[in-house]
Amino acid sequence: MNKSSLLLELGTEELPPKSLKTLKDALGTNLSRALSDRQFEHGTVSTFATPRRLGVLIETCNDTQPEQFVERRGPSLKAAYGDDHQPTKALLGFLKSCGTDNVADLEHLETDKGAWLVYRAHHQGATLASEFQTILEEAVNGLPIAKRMRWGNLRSEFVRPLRWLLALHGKNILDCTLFGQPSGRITQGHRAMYGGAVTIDMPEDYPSQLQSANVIACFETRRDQIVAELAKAAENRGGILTDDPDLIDEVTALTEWPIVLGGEFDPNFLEVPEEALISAMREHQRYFHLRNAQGDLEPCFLTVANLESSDPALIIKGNERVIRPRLADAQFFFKRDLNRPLSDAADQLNQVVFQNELGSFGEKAERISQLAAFIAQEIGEDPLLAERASKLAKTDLVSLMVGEFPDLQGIMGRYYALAQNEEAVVADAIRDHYLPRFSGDRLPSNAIGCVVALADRIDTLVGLFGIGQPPTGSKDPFALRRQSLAIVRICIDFPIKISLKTVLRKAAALHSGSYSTDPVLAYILDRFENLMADQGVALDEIRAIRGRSSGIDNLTTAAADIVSIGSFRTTEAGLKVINTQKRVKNIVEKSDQLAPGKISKDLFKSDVEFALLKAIDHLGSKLTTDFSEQLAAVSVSAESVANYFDSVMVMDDDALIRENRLNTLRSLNATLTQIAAFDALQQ
Amino acid sequence: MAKVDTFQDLILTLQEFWADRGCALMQPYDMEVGAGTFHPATFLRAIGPEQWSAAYVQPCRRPTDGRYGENPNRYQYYYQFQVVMKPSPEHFQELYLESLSHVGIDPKAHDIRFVEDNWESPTLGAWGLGWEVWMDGMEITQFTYFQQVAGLECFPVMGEITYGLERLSLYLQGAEDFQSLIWSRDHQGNTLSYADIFHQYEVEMSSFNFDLADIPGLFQQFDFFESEAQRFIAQALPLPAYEYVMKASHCFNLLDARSAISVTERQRFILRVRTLARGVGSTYFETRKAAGFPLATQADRDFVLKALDHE
Repeated sequence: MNKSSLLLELGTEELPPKSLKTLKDALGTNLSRALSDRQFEHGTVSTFATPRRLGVLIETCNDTQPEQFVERRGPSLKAAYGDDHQPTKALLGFLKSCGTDNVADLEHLETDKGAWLVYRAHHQGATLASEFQTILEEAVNGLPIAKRMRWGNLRSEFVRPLRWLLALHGKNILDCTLFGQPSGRITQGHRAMYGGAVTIDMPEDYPSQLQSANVIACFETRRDQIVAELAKAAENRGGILTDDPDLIDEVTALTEWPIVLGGEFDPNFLEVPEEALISAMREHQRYFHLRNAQGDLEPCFLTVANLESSDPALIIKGNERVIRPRLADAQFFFKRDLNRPLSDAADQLNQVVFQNELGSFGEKAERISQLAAFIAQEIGEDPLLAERASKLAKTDLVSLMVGEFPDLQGIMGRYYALAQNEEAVVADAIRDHYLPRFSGDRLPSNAIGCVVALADRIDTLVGLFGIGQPPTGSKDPFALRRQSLAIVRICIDFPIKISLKTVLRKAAALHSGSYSTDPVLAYILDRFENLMADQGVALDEIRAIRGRSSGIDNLTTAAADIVSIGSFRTTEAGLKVINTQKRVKNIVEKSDQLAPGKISKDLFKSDVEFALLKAIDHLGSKLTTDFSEQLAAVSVSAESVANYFDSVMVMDDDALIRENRLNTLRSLNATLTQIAAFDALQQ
Repeated sequence: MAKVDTFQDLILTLQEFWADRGCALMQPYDMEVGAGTFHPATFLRAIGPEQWSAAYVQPCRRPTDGRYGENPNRYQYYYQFQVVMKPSPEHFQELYLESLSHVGIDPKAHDIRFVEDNWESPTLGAWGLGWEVWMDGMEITQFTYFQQVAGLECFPVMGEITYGLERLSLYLQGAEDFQSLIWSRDHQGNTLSYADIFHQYEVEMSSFNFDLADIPGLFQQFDFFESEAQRFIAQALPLPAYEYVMKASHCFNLLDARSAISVTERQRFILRVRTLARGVGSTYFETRKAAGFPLATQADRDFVLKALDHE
């Protein structure tokens, strides 16, 4: 048995950098699985990826399958021969399927149900060489390719045109073909630095032979080298790098022989907001920016080239020449935007459609400003500031800068507001009203920012639900799910204490249609549940609060109440209440009536009945106090309820007494449920 | 290797290079287009099974890219050199890299890379996969394998190379901006610069595009071109129809530069042009089919006809 290493390399035209790592990992996994499925035992799998290749090296791979024992059951003896003792069609068919025409090749298998013909054979295992074509196709067809393409006049599709195919097992070529390319032992070195073919003798030599041909085939090795070289280059310039793992991955996927080079730009461009400069460098050019010790942007950049140039100065000069017009564009846009009065931009928002039925961004800004002023008033913030920030919040959408750099929305709005002498709190609110953008993102830095952020999103939610376009499982074009999560986070984490019902109703009133707010509230509360549950809060505790008769209206207090009920449930009294409340609720619900009728003390038969009524009255008197006091009263009541069930038979034979006792329990249930749905808590 | 140190030498050298690789040299299309792809030698020839290899210069107009001649490398009127080969040859990338060496770019000195950039033209109903080619970080070429044009699947696949001639010249001439590029040099060594020829044009056209073009007139023209294109499509005359599609598309670009089209309206206009482009594409396919796809190989023709039968 030959247990040599196996090497597969797909040589391609440049692969999409953002999926390179996924593709290489998948190719390794798929190939290993396709081998295992066919019982080709093998050792460790290593993968390689550069822009022009995906490689897999598999150690100690068997060249043949283990011997295969075949046992196939044929027709029963009875069915195998006709009355004339001649083989039946069933037998002949079975023989043919076993690849023989000789009945002597079959054996008899005796069972309780009679004798059967059986074919037993003992095959040599197939060779890797004979199976490899199938294995290769299986591994390649299973690659996760987002967008497939065709080329030339081939009908096949792949991620990019395949240019060569290398497949070795030990020193032997594994014969196979992929997309018209026959396998061989030839790979290609670096296009410019090596410029030619490399013949691989043994699979193990692959990385080192490519290294000599100026290709670092291992993704991780290349990445480490880039990280180290960037750090060194930053240190040489006395600058500080910002950690950016995604960008490092991307440049790793764009190079075979990475060389870090640094360039400079005209410090005059630093008058442009740094976010725009960084965006121009990063998004368009894949440059890394540097900061000085004070955190200010330095007029320079680091770039990762794909070769050791005979003239590196040429590459640096070239890159400096590219970034200049990009920054010049940013500067051009910035200056033009600065010269435009915000009121002018606000007017232009009237011409930009937000949503066909919900009007323009101008109309939206008007609605948000009224809603934000309302919320501000509710929470004791300055409504005029909230109104002003809302009116200006969307103006940068019509700026040239945001047209060119959409990721700078809000950020540019802040700069333009400051330049036109708006108050700092207004400017910050303009920037922050898009926050939080994703899970774990930061919140607006001030309350006015939170207010505008809430007003903007609540307006969108109420509007889209109102016109019958709520999100569905698969469709959420306005990202209402994310927007609702943002509302929840601002309310509970900043926190902003508002009555959601009131604010939603106000938002609905500001729209022209008459929109119902109940589904919006339910949708937000569902997100509230999700978010709390994600943070490890037990779902039944959330439901206990959501299930109380008034439901949840204020997320901030609801979140605190959930924490309180979490500790309450573990107390002795708490356990008692959960237990008895389930019984109470059961009885009440079975009684066909929930609302308590008049309780007549004359019909009481024992002290425990008086005691319970007193406990209920006590609870009732605490309903307007804060939640911890309410829970304390619940704890106090626990014993009276327990005693009641110990000695009182609710379903008394006397109808009057029975109804009176049911009314007592109805009253208890109604009172308790105003505090929380204790029955929702699991025991 | 020729010494390519003027803009016109670059054109001449590229033409000679690609003619030598079997491309028919076309001339620029004599209408306003936003890219060399609009030239019928690319857009229409990408449709159907017929083989086609061509190269040509195409002046392009992108009204929104005007900067009054002030940006070092962004102009509203500039030149592309377009190469199309169908089916795309096996060594298309190498041919391209060879052409760079041929015009005097040293691949061992410059950082030349193919960076993923998938091309999509919503107005033409077309998309392809490919790259922008970076030289020292600057995009000098678009490289695309067409997958679909006018809503029709491309088979065989046309490969397209679009050089940005001005950008490439910056490197060849060591110039800092378009303005200072040398267009031509006579025997006495007198030079004519890019600015000498185009600066005034950039300034005036930027004004025209951004500030002066007549909006109601352009809207009327758009409607007229659209209805004419529809009329010719209905009469199975794809070539005149296509010329009106190009005119409509240019009207749209001007209106866009004038900020006369809102975000949602924009989508609607794009859809209107795309509908026309699709109409042209399928009519063109039908007329070529009626002619028996004369430029196709027997195998490709048979394949496509058989596939049609199955539908």
